[in-house]
Amino acid sequence: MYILMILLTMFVLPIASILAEAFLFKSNAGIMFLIGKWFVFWAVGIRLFLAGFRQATDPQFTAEKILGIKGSEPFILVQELGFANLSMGVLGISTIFNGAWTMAAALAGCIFIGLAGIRHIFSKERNRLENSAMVSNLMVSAVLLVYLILR
Amino acid sequence: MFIGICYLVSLMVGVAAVFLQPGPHMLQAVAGTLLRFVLLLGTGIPLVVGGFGHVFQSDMAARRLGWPTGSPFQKELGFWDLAGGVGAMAAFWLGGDFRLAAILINSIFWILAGILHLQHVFRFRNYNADNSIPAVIDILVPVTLLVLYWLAH
Repeated sequence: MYILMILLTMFVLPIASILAEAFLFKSNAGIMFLIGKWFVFWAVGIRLFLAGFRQATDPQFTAEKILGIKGSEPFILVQELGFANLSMGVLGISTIFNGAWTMAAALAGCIFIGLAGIRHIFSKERNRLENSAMVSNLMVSAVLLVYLILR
Repeated sequence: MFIGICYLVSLMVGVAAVFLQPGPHMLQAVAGTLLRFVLLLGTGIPLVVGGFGHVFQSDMAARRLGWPTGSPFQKELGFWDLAGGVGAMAAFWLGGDFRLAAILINSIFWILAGILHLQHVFRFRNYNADNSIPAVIDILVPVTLLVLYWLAH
């Protein structure tokens, strides 16, 4: 389920949206504009909003089921991280209604997602879930960086 | 404590910058100048410094906050602090929609984080200065940002 959500929100849906707008709806917008628009909406907006909502409302799930950490001590950290993800997710989703916010969301998302990806590189015992998070984080961050440079 | 000092310094530097500008001092322009300095010094700097603390001195930062040490979530939270901080600092120079976006993303996070810190003060009696002071400042900074943005526009 976790890998499916990563695949959908960070690769399949952004690319499908870009192709749909470019070829199905014959958009006149440039390719970099479409890349920024849809990667920010799906990978920064929807992905982080869903993760943040889960972490904020059900910290036990993230702490125990995903990372195997028992007890309620880490809950404050999980919830605060959830609020962080929620705020970035809300901004990412809002860019679909106000395109002028795309650059700010792309900058914040590129730094946050990129650093999270780099952290996974140095993790000594990466499991399959962590590997998929690492690859997807680094790729999305690279896409956002290219958008920020070439837009 | 540091976060509170940054907030006060941002207001003082902002007021100084207003008086260094040639008059007359219209409310809209004053609010705009103050807003830029609260974003740079009162929001961006404490987030970047806090982010570095969470990432590079995780256990020390966790102990000061009364949080559990060794949590993998803390580094990720530090990354968000760095991202949000860089965005807030960039908004000092980049105006318009970028500034509003930086205000929104930081306001949502700070208010929710402030409520969480307040909950830990009252529910779990976590009276550590690094938990209770942010509980107030986390609410005060976004309210200041939003009011100043409203006055400036």
